Amino acid sequence: MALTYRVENPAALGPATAPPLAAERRWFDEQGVNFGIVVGGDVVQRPIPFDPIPRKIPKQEWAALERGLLQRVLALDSFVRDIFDGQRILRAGRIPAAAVYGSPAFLRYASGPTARTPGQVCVAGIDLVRVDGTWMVLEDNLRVPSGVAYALAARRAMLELHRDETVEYGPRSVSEYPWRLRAALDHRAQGDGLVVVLSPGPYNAAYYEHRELARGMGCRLVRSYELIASHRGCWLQEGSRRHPVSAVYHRYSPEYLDPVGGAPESLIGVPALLGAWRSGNLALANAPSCGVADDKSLFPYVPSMIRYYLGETPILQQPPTIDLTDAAQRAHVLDAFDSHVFKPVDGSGGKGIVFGPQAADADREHVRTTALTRPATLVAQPVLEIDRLPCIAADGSIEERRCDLRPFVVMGDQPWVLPGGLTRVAPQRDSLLVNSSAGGGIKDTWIEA
Amino acid sequence: MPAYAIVHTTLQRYREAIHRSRNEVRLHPVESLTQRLVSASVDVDPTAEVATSIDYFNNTVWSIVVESPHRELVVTANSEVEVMPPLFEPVLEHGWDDDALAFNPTIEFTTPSPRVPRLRAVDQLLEECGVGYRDAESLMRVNETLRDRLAYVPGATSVGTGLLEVLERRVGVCQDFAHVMLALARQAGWPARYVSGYVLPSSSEAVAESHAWVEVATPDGRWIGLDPTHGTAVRDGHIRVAVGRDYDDVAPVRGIFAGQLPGEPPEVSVVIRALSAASSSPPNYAMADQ
Repeated sequence: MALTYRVENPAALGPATAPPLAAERRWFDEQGVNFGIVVGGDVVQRPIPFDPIPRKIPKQEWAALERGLLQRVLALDSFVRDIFDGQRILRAGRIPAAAVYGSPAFLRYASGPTARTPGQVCVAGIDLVRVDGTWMVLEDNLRVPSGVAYALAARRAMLELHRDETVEYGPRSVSEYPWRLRAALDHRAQGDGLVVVLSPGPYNAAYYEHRELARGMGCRLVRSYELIASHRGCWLQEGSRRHPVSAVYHRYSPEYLDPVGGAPESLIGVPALLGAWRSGNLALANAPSCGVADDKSLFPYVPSMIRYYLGETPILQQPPTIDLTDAAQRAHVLDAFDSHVFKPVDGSGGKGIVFGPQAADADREHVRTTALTRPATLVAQPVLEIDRLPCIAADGSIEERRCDLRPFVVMGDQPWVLPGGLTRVAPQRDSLLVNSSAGGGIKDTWIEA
Repeated sequence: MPAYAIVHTTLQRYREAIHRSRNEVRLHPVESLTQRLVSASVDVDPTAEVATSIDYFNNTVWSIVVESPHRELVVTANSEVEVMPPLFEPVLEHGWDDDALAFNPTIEFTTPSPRVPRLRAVDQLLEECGVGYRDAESLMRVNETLRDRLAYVPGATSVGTGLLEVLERRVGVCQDFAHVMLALARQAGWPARYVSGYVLPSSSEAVAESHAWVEVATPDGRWIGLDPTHGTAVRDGHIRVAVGRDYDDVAPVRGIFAGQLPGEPPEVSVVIRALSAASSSPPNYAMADQ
C-alpha cells in the first residue's frame, strides 16, 4: 500500500510543496489537542506532535496482548483489595512485606470497607514495549492513567487527513471508549446523582484530555472548589443549589484528593471527599487505594500477584527489576552502570530517569550516591533495545524512532480493552524516552479487524 | 477496677467567620486487653454532623462536619474508660531474627514513616547512646536516659517540627521524644509504633494533657510501652487513645475549613476524673504536648 506521505526525496517535490507534517500540525493546533510542557516553571500548552505513520498490530498478536492485559489488571485489582483487607499475599510470603509497608504510595487513610470491594481499578493504562518482537510491560499506571484522549484524537486525525489509507486498512474502532468509561462509572455510582470529571485545572498537562473525556461522556467537568463533600456524600454547588454527585472520575494523584485525610498542604483537593467514598456514598475512579499497585518498587512482584490471586501463569513478560537495597545486586548494577536504567520509585512522566549509556557525569554521581544512601528510592532495570517504528522526520525523510504502547483497560460490568491505545514516539532518532512530557509525540494504533 | 472519665476539649478560633469546616478527630481511648471503653461521645459547637469509622490502625475516627458559618469550633470528646492491670512486666528480653520478622505484620513498624525518616543523625545518636542492634537491654536503657541527651522544653517545638531539627537542636516535647525513640528503636531493628494518649493524674480530678510514647514489639507477640519523656516503661499509668507509625497517623484533630486563612493554634484542655480508687500510685503528671 503506497502511503501518500511516504516521500522518498522531499527536495524533488520543489519549493511549492508544504513543509512535512504541516497539515498534521495545523489539525492538532486547530483542534486544540494540547499537552502541557513545563517551560521555565510555567506550563505551556502546545499541540502534541503527531506522526502519521500508524503502528499496526495483527489480529492474533493483539488477542494475546488483550488476554495478558486483562489478566494483569485483574491481579492488580485483587492485590489492592487484599492489601486493604487481610494482606494474605504478605502473610503467605509471596511478596516481601517491607516493600508494601515502605511504599509511599500505600495510602493507609484509604482504608475501610470500600477499599475491599471489587473494582478498585476502573481504568488502567499499561505501558508496553516490543523488544526483538516480544511485548514487555514496563509500567502499570493506575493512579492517573492518562493519554486515551490523545489516542482518540490520533484516530480522528488519520480519518480526516489520511482517510483513504485508514479506510482501506479498516482498523478496529476506538470511538466507543467514552461510553465504555461512562458505563463503568455508572456501574459504580452510588445513587442517582451526577457523574462528574474532576480536573486539577488548565495548568495540568493533560487538561485537554479532561475536557474531552467529560464531553465524550456527557459529564460536567468540575474543579475542586465546585464540590462539597462529607461522609454523607458529595454535591456540586451551583449558586445556592446543590446537586448530588454519585461518581467522580478524578484526575488527581490520590494523595491530593482530600486535604483532611491526605496531604494537608493540598489546596486542590476536596475536603472530606475520601470520607464520602469510605462511607460508600460516592464512587471514586480510580479508587484512592490504587496507588500501592502502581508503585515501581512493587512492579517486580506483579507476576507473583498473577500466580497468587489467579493461579495462572503470567501471559505478558516484564524486564527484571533490580532491588538496590540488596548489597550484592547493587554492586553488580553499579559496576555495569552503562547497561542499566535507573528510575525513582515514585516518579512519573520520565522525571528523574537516568539511562546508563547516556548519563552525564553529574547524573552518574547522583545515582551512585542515591543508590548507596537511599537505595529504596531507586530501582534499576537492564536497558532494553526497544523496537523502533518508522516516523517522518523534520526534513520529511523517514527515520526509525523508539515507540511504546499504552493500551487502556476499563473495568466495567465486563472488563474491556480498548482495541488500540496510545503509541508514544520518541522526539528524535536517538532519544530513549517516549514520554510526552519529555517532548515525545504520538501515532495512531491500528488493530487489525 | 480503676475507671476514669476523660473530657478532652479542643477550641479552634478562626480569624473570621468561615462557611463550613471538616475535621477528623481521634480522641477516644482504644479498646485493648488493658482498657475497656465504657462510653464515648462527641459534642460539637456549633451544631455538627458526626460519624465514626475505624482507620487502618484500628483507631476510631470521628468525622465532624459543620455546614453553618462559624468563628469558633469547640469539640468536646467525653470518654469513660476502665483500665485493667498490666498482663506482663514491660521488659524487653529477646531480639528479633530476620526470618521471624520478614513476614510478621509488625514489620510494618520497622520501615521509615513520613515523620520518622531514616537519618544518619539517628545512627550517630544510637552510637552515642551505646544502643546495640537488636540488643534489648540497651534499648530499655536509652529509654530511661533519653532525657540526658534531649532537653524537655515545653513549647520548644511545634507539631510540624521535623525529626532532623529535633536531633540537631536536642530539645523537644513528648511528641519529639516519641519520634526520636521510634527512630532509635527502628534503626536498632525493632518494630516500634507511636501511641497517643494520657498519663493518669495523681489526684482524683486533675487537669491533664495529651501525651505520646512508643510501643516496641517483641518476637513473642507483646507490645512493650516505653515512655522516653518520663524515662519509664509503661505499667498501668497510661491510657492509650490511638496508635500508628508516627504522629501523622494519630493526630488528635486534623481539619480544614472553607476560606484558607491561617488559624490560631487550637486551645486544648484535658480533665481526667477518677471514678473509683486507683489501684496504685500513678507516675507524675503528663508532660505537655501541643
